[in-house]
Amino acid sequence: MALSGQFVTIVNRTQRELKAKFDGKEFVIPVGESPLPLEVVPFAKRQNPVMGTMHAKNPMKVQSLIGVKGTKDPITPVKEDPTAELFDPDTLDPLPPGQKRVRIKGREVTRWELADDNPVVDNQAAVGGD
Amino acid sequence: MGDTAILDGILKDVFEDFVSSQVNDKNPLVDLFKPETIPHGGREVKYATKVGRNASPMFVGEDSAFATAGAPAYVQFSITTRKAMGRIRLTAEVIDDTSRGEYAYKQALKEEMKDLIDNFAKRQEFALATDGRGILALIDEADPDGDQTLELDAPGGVTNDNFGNRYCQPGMVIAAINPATGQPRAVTCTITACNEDGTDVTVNTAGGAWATAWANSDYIVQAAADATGTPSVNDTSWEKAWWGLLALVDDGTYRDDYFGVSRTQYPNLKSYVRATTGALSLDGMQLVSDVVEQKLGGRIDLVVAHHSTRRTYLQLLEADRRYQGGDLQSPDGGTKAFKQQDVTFGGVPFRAIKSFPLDIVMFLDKGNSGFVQYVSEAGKWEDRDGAVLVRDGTGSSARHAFEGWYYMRKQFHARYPGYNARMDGVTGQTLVVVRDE
Repeated sequence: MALSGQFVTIVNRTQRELKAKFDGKEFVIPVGESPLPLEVVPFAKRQNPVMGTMHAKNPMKVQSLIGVKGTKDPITPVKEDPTAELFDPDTLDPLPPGQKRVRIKGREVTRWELADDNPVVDNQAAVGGD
Repeated sequence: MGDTAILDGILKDVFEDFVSSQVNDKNPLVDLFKPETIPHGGREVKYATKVGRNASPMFVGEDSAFATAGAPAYVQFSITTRKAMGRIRLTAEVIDDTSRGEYAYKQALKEEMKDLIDNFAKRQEFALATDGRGILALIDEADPDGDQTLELDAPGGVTNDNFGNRYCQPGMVIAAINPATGQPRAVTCTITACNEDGTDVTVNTAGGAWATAWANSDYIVQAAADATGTPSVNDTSWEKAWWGLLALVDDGTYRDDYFGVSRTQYPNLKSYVRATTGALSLDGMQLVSDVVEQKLGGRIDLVVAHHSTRRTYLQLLEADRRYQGGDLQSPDGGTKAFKQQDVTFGGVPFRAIKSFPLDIVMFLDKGNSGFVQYVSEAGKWEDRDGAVLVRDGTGSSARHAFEGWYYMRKQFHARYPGYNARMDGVTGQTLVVVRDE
């Protein structure tokens, strides 16, 4: 589709350059305010989510690292969470008493580590309760 | 006294009648993706697709007015075929001197012709995994500095810092396309080597015009020949490849204009795409299936990803595995994936494809999507002038050699792209991409 020529002012809420892809073309979004074609905005917002903010029950509810100036979009600076997960665990169903969710790096964890009140998950899960 | 050194003159070299191939000629995406074939001719194929409903039905009271007439909305797709061509060239001597088994391991003419057709299958594998723009990679150097090493990333045009050269092949002539204009930069060059870690290719020229003209993030595409000037865009592969799954199963990220119809204007033509998935999760995969079902009643019957990404799925399941009974004596830490068989998710095969984009998982409803290929020519040696092999040149440029041209004309299409879905930006993989030469 040929772009309509309409531009909006968007705000990159981070301190790094972001990118957005639309119709095979990559658009670079510098830090701060910049113009972006209107058609590209939803793609830019979707491709640059704030990790850890997607509602577990409604994937349409997720914050973006990009906001459109003059709309309801938040445009205040945001501190990025290096977590790899998009879901916001606080929006998952509440756990039974005594259980808690632990955000971990890496992927290997034993149930003994998770059973600890202060688990030290070091990505080298030891079998046997260490 | 005689030994093998003294009597070497009477020893024979014994040649085993065998040629081992060290190139990977398996093309799993081509084998997996077997669309219905429809003949194509004329200017283009058009067909209508319904994209809207008559909105007038409403609940009314006695003697009340009711809504003015609505109408369903239709638009038309426009599909034209695209062409791939390749050629062989052999001298008369190599044809004659390999014509019999006692002269050579293989007949050069027969092998060259067969090999070219195998290589077309490899190009089709690349095309099916990408979006039809013919992009091999993007330049990943702030300023190509005139040495013979060209750093690459984003293989196939898919954003990724790794294995930029995975679709490149020594011998390819390459051009750089300016992303802003879609026009080639000055000068082309030939790839002489691809490094094993996937980060760069070596080219045949250093310095000169190409180093000053080419720029970071330019698209690298195949070109017809080495050129010192600016090649014609028509002599490159830019926007000439067959549309692959990235174009067909898409929401506008790669192809907004879907065969003449805007996906932005008609969202019915979008596949559901999770743009920045992050870590893969079982719930996220179920969510994708739920969206497809709500959109058009789709049923996912195949999940496809690169091997590295499929391993992240297997890792999700590792912590829950339990050994019991007989397994305790001989626990098996592997899965069917070790034999390169399909693992499953909800009973649906999850297949690893080596040419697939690195951080993308695709969810396909092959039964309902209407994957087709419009074919003008399925593949033939050009022989309209009466012969497959034609003499090379005439007059003073003549050479005692022969050329053969092979070509295909087709285009892939999905009639119902909304039945499929895609997850982009999957992270957490240990990326291992093995080049196949």
